[in-house]
Amino acid sequence: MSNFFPRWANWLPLQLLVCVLVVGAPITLGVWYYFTPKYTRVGYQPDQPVPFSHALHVKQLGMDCRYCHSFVEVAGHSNLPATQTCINCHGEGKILSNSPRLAPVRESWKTGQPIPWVQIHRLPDYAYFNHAVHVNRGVSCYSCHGAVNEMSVVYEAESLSMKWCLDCHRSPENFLRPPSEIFNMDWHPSSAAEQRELGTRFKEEWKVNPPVNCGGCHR
Amino acid sequence: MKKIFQHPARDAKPTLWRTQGELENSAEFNESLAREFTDAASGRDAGEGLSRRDFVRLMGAATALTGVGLTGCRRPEAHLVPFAKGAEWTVPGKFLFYASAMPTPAGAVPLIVTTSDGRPTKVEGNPLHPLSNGSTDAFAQASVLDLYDPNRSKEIKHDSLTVGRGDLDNLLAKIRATAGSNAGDGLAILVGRENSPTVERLRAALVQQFPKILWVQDEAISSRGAEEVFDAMFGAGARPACDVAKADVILSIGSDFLNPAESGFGFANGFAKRRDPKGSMNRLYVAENHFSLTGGMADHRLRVRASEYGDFAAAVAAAVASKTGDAGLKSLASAYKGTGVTFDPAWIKGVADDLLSAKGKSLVLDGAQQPAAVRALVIGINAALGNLGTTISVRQTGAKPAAKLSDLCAAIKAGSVKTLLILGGNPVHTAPAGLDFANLLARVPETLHLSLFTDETSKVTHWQVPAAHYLESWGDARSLDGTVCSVQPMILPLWNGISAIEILASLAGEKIDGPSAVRATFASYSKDASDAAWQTFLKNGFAAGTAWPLSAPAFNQGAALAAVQSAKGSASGEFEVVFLRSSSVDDGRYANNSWLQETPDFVTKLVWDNAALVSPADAKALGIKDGDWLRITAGDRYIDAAALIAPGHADRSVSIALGYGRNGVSHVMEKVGFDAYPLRDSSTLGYRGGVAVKALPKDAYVFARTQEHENMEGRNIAREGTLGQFREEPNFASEMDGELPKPVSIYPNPPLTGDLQWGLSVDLNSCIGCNACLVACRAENNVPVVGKDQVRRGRDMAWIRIDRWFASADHREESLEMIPMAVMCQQCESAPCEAVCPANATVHSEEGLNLMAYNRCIGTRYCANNCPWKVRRFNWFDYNERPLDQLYYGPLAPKGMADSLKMAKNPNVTVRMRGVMEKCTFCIQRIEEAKIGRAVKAGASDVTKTPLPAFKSACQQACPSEAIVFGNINDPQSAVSKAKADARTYSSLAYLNTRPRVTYMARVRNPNPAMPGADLVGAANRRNEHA
Amino acid sequence: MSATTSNETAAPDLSAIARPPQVLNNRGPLWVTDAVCSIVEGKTPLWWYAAISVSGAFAAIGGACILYMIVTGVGVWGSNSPCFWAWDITNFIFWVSMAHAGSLISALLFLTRQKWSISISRAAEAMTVFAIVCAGVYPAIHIGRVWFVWFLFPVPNSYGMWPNFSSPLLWDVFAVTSYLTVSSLFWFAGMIPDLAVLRDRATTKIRKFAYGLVSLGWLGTARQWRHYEMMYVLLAGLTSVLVVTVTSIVASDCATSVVPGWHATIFPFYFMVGAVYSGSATILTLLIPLRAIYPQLKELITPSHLDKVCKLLLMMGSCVAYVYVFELFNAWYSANPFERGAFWERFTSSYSWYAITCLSINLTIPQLFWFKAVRRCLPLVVVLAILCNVGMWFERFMIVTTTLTRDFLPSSWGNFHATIVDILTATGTVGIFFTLFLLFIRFVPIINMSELKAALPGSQPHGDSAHSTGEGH
Repeated sequence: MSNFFPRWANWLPLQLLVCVLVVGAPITLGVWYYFTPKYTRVGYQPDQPVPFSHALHVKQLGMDCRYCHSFVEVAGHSNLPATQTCINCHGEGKILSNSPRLAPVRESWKTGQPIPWVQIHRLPDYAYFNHAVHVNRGVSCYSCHGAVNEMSVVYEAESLSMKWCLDCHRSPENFLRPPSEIFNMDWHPSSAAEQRELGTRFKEEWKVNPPVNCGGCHR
Repeated sequence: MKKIFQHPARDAKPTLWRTQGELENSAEFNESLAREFTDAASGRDAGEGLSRRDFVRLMGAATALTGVGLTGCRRPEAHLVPFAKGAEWTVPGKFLFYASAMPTPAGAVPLIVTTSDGRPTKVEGNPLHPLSNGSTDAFAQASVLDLYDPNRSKEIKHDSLTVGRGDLDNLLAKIRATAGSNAGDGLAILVGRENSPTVERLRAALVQQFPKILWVQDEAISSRGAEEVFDAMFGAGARPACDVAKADVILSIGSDFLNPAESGFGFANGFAKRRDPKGSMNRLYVAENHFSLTGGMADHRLRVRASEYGDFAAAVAAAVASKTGDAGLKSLASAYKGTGVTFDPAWIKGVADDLLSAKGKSLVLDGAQQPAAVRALVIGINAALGNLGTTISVRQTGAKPAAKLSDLCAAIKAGSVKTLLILGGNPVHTAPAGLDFANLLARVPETLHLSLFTDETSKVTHWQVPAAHYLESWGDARSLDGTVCSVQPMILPLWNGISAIEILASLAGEKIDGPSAVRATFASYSKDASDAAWQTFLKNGFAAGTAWPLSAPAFNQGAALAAVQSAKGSASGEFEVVFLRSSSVDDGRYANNSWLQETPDFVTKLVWDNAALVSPADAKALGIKDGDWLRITAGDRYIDAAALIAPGHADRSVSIALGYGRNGVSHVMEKVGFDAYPLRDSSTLGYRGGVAVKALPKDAYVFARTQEHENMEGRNIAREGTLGQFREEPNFASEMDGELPKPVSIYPNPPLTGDLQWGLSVDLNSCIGCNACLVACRAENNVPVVGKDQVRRGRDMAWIRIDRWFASADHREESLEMIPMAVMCQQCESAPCEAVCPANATVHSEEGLNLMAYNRCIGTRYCANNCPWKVRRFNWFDYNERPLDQLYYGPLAPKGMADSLKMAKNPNVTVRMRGVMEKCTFCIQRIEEAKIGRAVKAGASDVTKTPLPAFKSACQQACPSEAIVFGNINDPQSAVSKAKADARTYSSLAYLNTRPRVTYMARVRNPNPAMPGADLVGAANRRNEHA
Repeated sequence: MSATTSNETAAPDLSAIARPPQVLNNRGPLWVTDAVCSIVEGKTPLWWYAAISVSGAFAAIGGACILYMIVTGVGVWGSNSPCFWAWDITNFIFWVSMAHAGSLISALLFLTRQKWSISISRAAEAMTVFAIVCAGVYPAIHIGRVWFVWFLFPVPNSYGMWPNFSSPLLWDVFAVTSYLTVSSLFWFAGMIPDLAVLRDRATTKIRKFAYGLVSLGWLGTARQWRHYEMMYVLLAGLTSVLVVTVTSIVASDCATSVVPGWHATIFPFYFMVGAVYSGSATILTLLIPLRAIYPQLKELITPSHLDKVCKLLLMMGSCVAYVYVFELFNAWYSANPFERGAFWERFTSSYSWYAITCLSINLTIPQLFWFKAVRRCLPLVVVLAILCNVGMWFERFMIVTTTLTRDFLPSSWGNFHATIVDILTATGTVGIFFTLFLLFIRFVPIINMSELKAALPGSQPHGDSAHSTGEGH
C-alpha cells in the first residue's frame, strides 16, 4: 500500500489557497484597473499637427471656448475651428504671421486642405453624445474635459466610460453649475456642500432629469 | 496614478479629406468627391463633419471599452477635419433641409430633402405644396437609394469605349450643326412624360430652330389612350381633375386611384378624409379583375375581367340612363360592342341607384390604361350624374401633342431618322413588342441613351450617357395640378451624370450654368422673375399660382359616341392577360432598387419577384399550385411565368406586373421575376384578350413572401364592422375582446414618470396598405436588405410590416374582403421581451418606450420568441457588410458595403452588426433630437414648461392617408390622444395584458343595404365575436 | 458451527423475504475488485479503438460546424422568424434533461439507501456529466455574439450595469454551470477509493503516477472514511436538490414566456419526469451492451437491477403520458383561442408528424414495461430504450420548435427547415457524449467497487455472516 503523496502534500491545499490569494488577487485587481477606460483612455495625449496651446489662448489671453468651438451651444458636435478662425488672428501681417509652428495653418489656408487634428475624446459610434444639451443645462466643459485651460497640450482627463457618464446622469446635482460659469474653467464650488446645494436647486428649478435608460445615448 | 503618455508620432503625411461643402455652389466640392470616397473606404471615423455610424468598426472600440484593449495598442488614431473655410449654413452634425421635387409621369412629388453634411439621406413630403399633405410614396422614399446606387452608369461611352465629356459636347455640337443645316430633318428626340416646363420650353425652342425635328413622348404605362378622348371632348391638352373628397359615392371601374404611383397625389388623402364614420362617410364600389389597394378599401367589390370593364360600364350607363331617361347616355351604352357578358342585375341596379341618389356628388373612375371607349362611357355616366364641374373638372394644360413611339417606329422604318436621342425611359425593354423597337433602333445611324443605369437600351445605343439623378441636378416639374415644383441638386453629380435639360439646352444652343435654364423658364411663366421671387420659388419648392386653370367641362356627345364606337367586340370566352404597374419596380424603372425589390407587393406580399396571378377557380381548372409554371400565349408570342393564386381575382384572367425578368442588366435584377412586355402591343397596353394559358410540367418556382398565412384563424386581430354597427355600438371593436383577465403582472412594471409619454395609433379605416411607411422606415432607420433567399427563410428585416388579411364571412370569393394592417413594435408597457432578456439589452424608458440597445445585445433571441407580434428582427448574418449572395461564405466573403451606400445611411441611427436583435423604437433618434432641442431651448429654466419642437415618426410622416398618428399621449390635445380616445380604438391581443402603446382603430365599412351580399360586408370578425 | 443451526431454522423464510443479492453467485469482494479493475487494466480491445475513432470523428465535425457558425453567423442554422430557437435549444433541453436521471438515481437512491442502485450509479453519474457537457455546448454558442457572452455574468464593469436577474436565461447559465460542477464533484468523489484501488494494483509507473494523482492520496483509513462518508452524503444531498432546481429553471425558459404552448405551470414537472424518463432509458441503452461486452459485469449488474430501472422508466413514462393528456385538457379547458390554436396546429400543421411520432412512442413504448417478459428480454429492452430517447427528442422539438412556428398572429407563422449545419452540430454532440463515455469505460472503474463491496453480505461486521461463503470465512 504505497502512497503516492508525501506527507507535506497534506499542506498542499492550504498552500494553494494562499498562493491564489497572493498571486491571483493582484492579477485580478491589475486587470481590473489597467484594462478599463479609466486607465486606457485617461491621459491620452497625442501630438497635434499644430502645437496649439489652450493654456496660452485661454488661461493667458482669456479667450472664450466658444470663439473657436462656435457651435457647441447649438449642435451635438462641438466643432473644431475652421482654418479661417485661426487666420483671423494669425493671418498675413497679423500675430506670428510667419512663425514656423503655424506653417500647417498657413498651408491649409493656402491650399484649402483642412488641418488633420488628432481626435482625443472619442466615444464609440453607438454612443450619441450631444454637447448643446449639456452646456445649456448647467454642465461645464470642465466636467468632461478637465482643466483644458491649464493644458499646453490637450490630453484626455476623464475615462468617458459608460459608468462615468451614469455617475453624473444618476446624480447631476454633484456637477450642475450656474449658467454663467459653464465656460469658466476656473470656477469651482467652495465646498462639496455648496455644490450639492447649488446643484440640487438647479435640478429642481430646471427639472433636470437626465436619461439613465439606454435610449438616452444609444439609438 | 494618472500617467501622461505620448501617442506614437503620426506618419509623415496623413490622408486628407473634407466634409461635403454646402450645395452646388461650393467649388471645391467636385474635386473633393473622389477623396470623399477614399475616406468612406478608409472606414475611419469621419470626424465632426461626416459622422457616419459604422457599427462593425465600432465593435473594436467596444472591446477597448470592455477592457481588452491595452494602453500600448490604443484604438487607431482618428482625425477630426474641420473645414478650411466654413461653409454657409453648415453646422457640422446638424441636418439641412431643402425643398425639391421628384419628377414622375404621374406628376411631381413635392419633397423636403434632408441633407446631413451635404449628403441627401431622406426625403419627406412638402406640406407647403397645395396638393401635398407632407406625405410621400414608396417610390419617392426609395429614390434616395437610386442616387447612391453603385450600379449606376458612371461613364460616357461611345460604342462601348469610355469617352470624355468633351466628346459628348462635340457630338451635341455636331448634331446641332447638322440640324441647323437641314432644319432638324432626321433628328428625333424621345423623352418621358414627366411634365417639366423647362423641357417644354427647350422643346419649343428646338422646334422653332429646327422645324423638322421629331419630338416623341412615351411612357411604358400611361393614360395616353384615355387622354385622346379628353382631347377630343374638351379640347387638346384637357386633363381630368377629380376631387374624391367631394364625392359621396364612388364607382371605380378597374381604377386603382388610391395608389399614388398610379394616379398622383391627393387621392388617398382626399378619400381617407371621407372615411370617418363620425362624419359623412363616402361609399366605394369597385369593379376590378385583381385585388388592388382601392379594391381593398371597397365597400362593395365585384370581380370583373379587365376586358369586360367596358361591358360593365355600359351596363351601369344603361341602368342610369333607364332611370333618368337620358337618351344620350342610352345611345352610348347601346353603341358599345363588348363581349356581351352580363352582370348580376341587382349589383348594377344597386350601384346605379346609389350613384343617382348622389347626383353631382358622385364619381365614376376608370383605369388609366383602358381603351378610349371605356373612358368615353365613364365620362358619359359622370355627365349624366351631373358630376362634370363638381367632382370632375378639367384642367387646360395647353400641352402640345407629341409624337408617339409608334410614330417614331414608323419614321425609322421610313428611314427618315438619322439621329435618335433617347433622353428618358428604356424603350428597348418597355416598348410594345409589336413595334419590334429593338431591331428598328439598330437601323438608326446615330443613337444616344441617357439613363441612370446601363440598361437594355443603353446596351444597344451608340452613345451611353450617365444621367444625373433628380437629387443631383437642376430642373423643374409640374405636379398633378400643374403647379411648377423646383428640382434642386442636393449634391454634385456623384458620377458626373448629365441631366436631359443640359443636353436639350446645349442642342438649343443655350449656355448651361447651374440653374440658368430653369431660371429662364421661371422667368417665362412667373409674373415676378426677380431674384427674390426665384429664391422664394426654391425655398418653398414650388411657384404658387402656376396650377393649370380649372374649368367645368361641357360633355361632348358626338366625340363620346365616336370613341365608344371605336371599340370592337370580342369573345368573352378565352383568357385575358392584364398588365399591372408593379408596386415595387413601377414599369421596371426601379428594378435596380433593392429597397423596393424587397418591399412586398401590396396584395400578394411577394418580394423580389412578380407572378402570374390567377383566381383560385382558374388554378383548380388548370390544376396548378403556387409556383407552378404557366405558358401565356398571345398571338405569336408567349411567356413562361410562375403562377400565384390570388384570392379575389377575376376568373379566366391572368394579371402580371411589368418590369421584371430583366436578366443580364445588373446583379440586383438577375433572376428576378418574369418579363411580361413581350405580350404587349400598342393596341393592348392595359390588357390583352384572347390569350391561351396552359400549365407547364416544370418544377415549381420558389417565391419569397413576407406573409404566408392570410386567414385570421378566427382571432380578432384586424377588426372591422359596418357603419350601422358603429352607429348603434361605437366601441364594437373593443367589445370583441369579451371578458379580459385582470391586469396583473408578476414583474414590477417600469415607472412611467416622464412628462412625455409616447404612443401611436393606426387607423385601419384609412390605412390603404401602400408601403410608404415601410420604405420610409427602411430609409430612416438604416434597415438592411437581406435578399430573396433570406426572406424566403423568414428573415425579412423590415421594422414595420403591413399584414394583409383576407376575410370572407361565407368563404366565397364574391364576399372576400381585404384588410391591410400596419404592424410595428407595439411598445408594450409591460413588455414580454424585456423580462426575458438576460443582458438587459432591451429595457423600458420612463416615457413608455421599449428600448433596444444594440451594443448591449448578445443575440439570445429569447425576446423575439416571447414577442406576440413577432416584430423583432435578428441579424442572422452581416447583412450590412457581406454581399447578399455570399452570406454563407462567412469570412471568405468580401467585407464592407459600397462606399456610396455608406453615404445613404442615416448618421443618427446605429448600423447594426450580425448577431444583434433590432426593432422599431418609434424613431427614437427623432424623439431624442426633439427632447434635446427642447432642453436647449429651456436652458436654465423649467424644461417641462417649454414646448416640444414638432416632429413625426418616419412612418407617420410618409403616410399618404394620415392613418398613422404618433405623439405624446400625456397631452390630451395631441392628435394621438384624440385618436386613442376614439370609440373605434382597440389594442390587438389585449387579453395578453401587455398594454401596447400602439393601438388600432377598427375599420368601418359602409355597405349599401340594397346591394346583394350587403350583410356579408364588414364581417371579417363575425364568426368569432369573442375570440 | 452455529452457522449451520441458524441455517436450518431461518433458511426457508429468510430466502422467501430476502432481497435479491447485489452480486450473483455469492461472489466475494476480491472477485468484485478483479472483475471491475480487469476492464481498466486489460489490454485495450480493438472495438474500443474503432468506436472512439467514429465518435471522435463526429465530435470533430460538430466542432467544425460550431466554429463555422460562430465566424459566419447564426443564420447558417435553419432558425428564422418565428422559430428564433430550433435545434439549438431542442438539443440543449434534450441533453440537460437526460443528465438528470444519473444524479437522481445515484444521489436520491443513495440517500434513501436503495442498495440496488450501487452497481449502476457510477455509469449513471458519468452519463450525467457527459450529457451536461453536451448540453452546455448549446447555450454557450447559440447566441449571436459569443464574444460578449460575459455580459451574462454579474461582474463589475465599466458600464456600471448588471445583467437582468429576472430572465430565466440568466439562471440557466447559473443552473447549468453549478449542476456541472456539483455533479462532476459527486462523480469524482465517489471514485476516489476505487481510483486508489487502481493505483495500488497498478503495475506500470505511469499508471501508478496517474491514478496516484487522481486518488488524492487515499489511504482508506477510518478517519478518511468518516470524512469521506460525510462529504459524500452532503454532495448527494446537494445534487438531488440541484436535479430539481435545474430542471425547473430550464423549464421556466418556456413556462415564464407568453408563447401559447410554453406558458404553462406544469412545465417544471413536465421536464422533470421527461428527464428521468430519458435518463433511465439512456442508462439501459449504455449498460446492457456493456454487460454483453464484459461478461463479468453480468454478475454485478444483475437482471434485477435492470428490472428496477425498467420499472423506473415505466413510472416516469406514465407520468409523461399524464402530462401530455393534461396539456391537451388544459388547452381545451382554458377556452383560450391561442392556447387551443397552438395545440390544434401542433397536430394539424406541417409539423404534425413530429407530435404524432412523439406521442405514439412515449404513450405506448414505456407501457410495454408492465410485462416482466419484456423487462427481462434485454435486447428488446435496449431497442425500446433507444426508441424512448428518440421519442423524447421529438418531444423536445415539438415543445421548442413546433410551438414557435404557430403563435399569436397567423401573419407571422412560418416553418423551420433544419440545415446540414444543424444536423452535424447535433450529431457532433452525440459524438462528444460517446467519446467521453468510451474514455470513461477504459480508464475509470465503471462500478462503484467500494460501495458495492460494503453492501456485500458479510461485509457488515454485525450483519448475518451466515449466508456469506467463500472469502467471507
